Amino acid sequence: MRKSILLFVLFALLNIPLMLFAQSGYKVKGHVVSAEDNEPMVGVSILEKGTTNGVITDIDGNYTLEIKGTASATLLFSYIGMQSQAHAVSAKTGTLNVRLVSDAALIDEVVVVAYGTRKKGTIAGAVSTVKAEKMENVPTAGFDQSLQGQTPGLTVISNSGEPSKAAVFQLRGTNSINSGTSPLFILDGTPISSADFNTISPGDIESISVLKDASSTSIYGARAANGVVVITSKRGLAIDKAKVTLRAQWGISQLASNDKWVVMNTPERIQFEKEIGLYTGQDYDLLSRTNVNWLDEVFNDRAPLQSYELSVNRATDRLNYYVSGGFYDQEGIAQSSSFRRYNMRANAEVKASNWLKVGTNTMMAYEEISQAEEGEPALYTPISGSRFMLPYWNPYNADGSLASENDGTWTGTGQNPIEWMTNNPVSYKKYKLLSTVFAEITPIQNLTIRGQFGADYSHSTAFMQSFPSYIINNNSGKAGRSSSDILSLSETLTANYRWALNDDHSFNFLLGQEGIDYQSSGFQVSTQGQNNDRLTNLLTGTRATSWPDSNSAYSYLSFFFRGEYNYKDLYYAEVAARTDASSRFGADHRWGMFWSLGFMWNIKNEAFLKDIEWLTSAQVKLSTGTSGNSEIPYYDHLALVSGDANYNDEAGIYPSQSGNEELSWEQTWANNVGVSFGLYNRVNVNVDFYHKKTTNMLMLVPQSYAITGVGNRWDNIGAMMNRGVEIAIDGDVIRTKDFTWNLSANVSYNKNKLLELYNGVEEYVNSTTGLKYVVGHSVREYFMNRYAGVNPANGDALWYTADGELTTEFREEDKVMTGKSFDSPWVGGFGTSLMWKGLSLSAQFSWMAKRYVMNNDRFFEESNGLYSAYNQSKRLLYDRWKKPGDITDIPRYGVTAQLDDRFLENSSFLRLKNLTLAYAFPQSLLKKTNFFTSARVYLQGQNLLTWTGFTGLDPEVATNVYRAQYPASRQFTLGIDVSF
Amino acid sequence: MIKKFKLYILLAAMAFSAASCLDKMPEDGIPFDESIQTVDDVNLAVIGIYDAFKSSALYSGNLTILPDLQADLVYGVNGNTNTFGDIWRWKDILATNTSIEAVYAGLYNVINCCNFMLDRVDRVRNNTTDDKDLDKLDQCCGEAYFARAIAYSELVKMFCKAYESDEDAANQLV
Repeated sequence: MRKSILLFVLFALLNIPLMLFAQSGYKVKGHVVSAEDNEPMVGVSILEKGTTNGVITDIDGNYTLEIKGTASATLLFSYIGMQSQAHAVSAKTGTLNVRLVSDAALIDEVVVVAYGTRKKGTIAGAVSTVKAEKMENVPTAGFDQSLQGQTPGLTVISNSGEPSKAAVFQLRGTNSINSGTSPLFILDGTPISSADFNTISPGDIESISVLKDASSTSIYGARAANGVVVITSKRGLAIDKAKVTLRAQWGISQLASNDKWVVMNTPERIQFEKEIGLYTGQDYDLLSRTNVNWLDEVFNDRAPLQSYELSVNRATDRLNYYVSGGFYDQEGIAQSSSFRRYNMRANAEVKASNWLKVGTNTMMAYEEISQAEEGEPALYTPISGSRFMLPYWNPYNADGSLASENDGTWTGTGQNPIEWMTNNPVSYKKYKLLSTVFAEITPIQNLTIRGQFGADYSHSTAFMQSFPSYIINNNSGKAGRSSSDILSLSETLTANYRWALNDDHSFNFLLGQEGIDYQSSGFQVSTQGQNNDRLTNLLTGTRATSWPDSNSAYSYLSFFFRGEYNYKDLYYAEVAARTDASSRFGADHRWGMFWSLGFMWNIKNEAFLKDIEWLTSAQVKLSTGTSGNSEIPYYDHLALVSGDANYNDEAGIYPSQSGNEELSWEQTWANNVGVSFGLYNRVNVNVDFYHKKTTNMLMLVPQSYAITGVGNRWDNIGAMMNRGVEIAIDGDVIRTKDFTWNLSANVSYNKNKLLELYNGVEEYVNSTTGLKYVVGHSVREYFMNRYAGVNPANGDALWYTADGELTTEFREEDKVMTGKSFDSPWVGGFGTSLMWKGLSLSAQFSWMAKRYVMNNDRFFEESNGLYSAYNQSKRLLYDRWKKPGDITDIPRYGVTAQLDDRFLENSSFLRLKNLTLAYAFPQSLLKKTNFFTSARVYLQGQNLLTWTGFTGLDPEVATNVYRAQYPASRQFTLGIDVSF
Repeated sequence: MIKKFKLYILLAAMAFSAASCLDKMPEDGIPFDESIQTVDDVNLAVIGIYDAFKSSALYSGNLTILPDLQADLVYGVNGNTNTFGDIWRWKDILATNTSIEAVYAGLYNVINCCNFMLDRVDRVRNNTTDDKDLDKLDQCCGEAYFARAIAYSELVKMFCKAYESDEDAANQLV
């Protein structure tokens, strides 16, 4: 790609010099090859030094240059990505063959920042970039999972194995108690919601920049306190002709880990029932003939996945386009879980005249989705029910049909979860259109005025049915439909002026204005009374049971400024300011002001370091500034009366919220110190330290019910701190012509501390979540009773009192702060890639450490009496206290489990996120086809291996409780990429 | 220069039009001050009070069922999924119990609905001249006073400490 950029530039430059002068001279000819593979190089520029006389090599790497008017000249050979060479020539030279050596470090890599792009190594902010290669072929619906472990400071947790659900993001710690903690996502200049990640084909993404510190994010002002993730879609890059790329992938998904299944099988269950005296009326001869592993019944171990993508791109000096279409189809591993997407994209940019450029980035997607029920401990939903169903209840009959309650073939208590799911289908459809158009005018040199308009529209529908023939419906079915439309319009105007003063001082000013207007409306209708399975829709019902609708809107208006200064590529300074108004606050408090300052010292360019060979680059960065957060419900500042009260079929009104017109922005002040350096042209190291303080936190502050009838209200209160360090290293261990071995690793540590709560209160128990906010502690620390095990003498459960004494009583006052939180302080990843000729092997690992999760599933499975009618953990059978002297952690039967810290588990993990083995066919072979320009096949495994001490099915949990969660899946895929 | 000038005008126009877009109101809510203006509005608020009593935490739920459970008017069976298990076992009732909190919240919600109406009824009464309407307002107020009283009496019953003498009771109710 980079080669092609240069080609483009060269073509433009060399048009004129190709004219011949009618003077006598001499010719120099030769052949240019790459030192790496001895292949001829096309398009290498050869220029006579000090003149405009030059040529480029032809398709076989040959060139002929005529030199006139001088006896000896110097030829400069240059090619992007290669070290330039200079050779003296004279009339005697005749033939000059050249081998060009690659130099990765010489490439001017471009980094996408807020409202623009910058050359890598010229920015003062902390920015990490993830390139297309990491995402193009991920076997997932969205790009989100592929970011895990790639960027220091960014926590990405795929909280659900549902193919259509997005991962949960967090950057540099938790910055708020109740307001949003997810970064702001910007796609091609328009903000998008994480719910839309699955509408964007990962193959259409060119790069993702993660903006972390104040200097890079403050220009996004009010929404930037949790960091900003800037996503850029692909544009045309192929020069000589349009490039067509086809990507296809086929594979299967299965459970990422199934060795954690701990519930009893039939013999164990029967023995357990006998031991606890639940055997009345049981025919064990009959029951022992059935032994079902519900995990295998509910989860598919070869759910198919297929993905196809076709794209065309081209760049000329006037027009630049990228057009793609894709189809992605993935079955989830759980029942009734699937995702299918049809998507297309057209990105184009036209240089209409030498002062006007117009363009668009437009994508459309249509999705068909079904999602498995998860997260609630229900007996009738498959994921949750699989843990509760007894092993001698078979969901299927001998002939393979569903065991049904209708005909009595289902022998279990309650519903057969698989039958329930089949009789209560829900299907979703989503239509997405995201389009931006822009115009860029250059009225005078160095001044660019850009206007961009974006429309982000989505329409989602759901259709749910419950069939009348299903016996529990009593021949009265249900149907429901919902529809929602969301339109978010955004408009951005920027003026950018570049200005240089006698080569030493250069300035870049940006002035901008932005507006966002979001509106959504939706409704849902449910009816009941259908009595025909094939006519179960809204109309066939006999009465409506619910008909909620909702409309909401918010808007932002912003003005911003950025000034950049650079002295001789040595000192860089940046100042940015933004003012934002949000409709979520009252008129007197809606404007917020945010600013940042950044400095960068490019020490390598100082005279005293210039000659040190081993130090390839060295930079020191400093930044400070503020950004805001207003992620609260849209209307909560208003005192409102609602009308959905209904008594005796008469509608009434009631005060629904008391509002707070004083409500305003939450503000985070962030400071960053960073050092980055390159050694021996091989190794790059980047270290960042940061300290952030959030004040005026938006919190649902508890208040007496006696005041307004509700238990809390939004207010700006208190303060919180996040402090941490991030280190990223990457380097080529071996770099030879045929063999490259690259290693990269990153690690980050974050410490979160609550500094102040509301009204001088020092602590607040967060109701039933097992959490407590205490000043001086992490805001996500667990507050629990400490379990002390079992008294070997009598099998009683023991706990520690708050003072550390043993007690047999489970008391509220013995709860203590555990020092364990569900925000992982340590997050990291590492990867390696080996390349030998066309063969490459790459592995990407990600890990999190010191993260704790309440395993609620285990509370049900080890209930020790509360849920004995349903299946229980094998541990209850084998490990519970049975006779005096038994040393164990499960009390005697009947001493029921409590939600104490015995279920608080360390969910740290190390995961082999992706392993890819690929083979790229050599150019020599492809040339013979006279058609293909590149071809690659690969085998890929996603979530191949997981190491964790967590006893649940999957350690990736984004919240404080692990309960009936859809576990992550593992994918094996085979893929091909070809282009011509 | 003219171009710049035009840009400023454009910016200003945009800023102005966008600023008015910053006042967003939901379609399913009306501001407090505009909600009760007529006798009919007062009546609607009374219906809202009755609706508040329909809360599943009050007479059709927790308020009546929790004491029954505690009084052992139920049988605990195998197969129960621990619904209300904490209440039935007595000893597991914690300060953070949400079933009990919901009763407290539900009753105060009734009181809040009553106060909301009673705080605004005088303004309506001052603008009302028709005798029938005034009678209607009295009727509405009466219902609201009664609703509030019954909610308070339940609160006293449920959440005040036991007392033995009148003086004792006065202290507990503070």
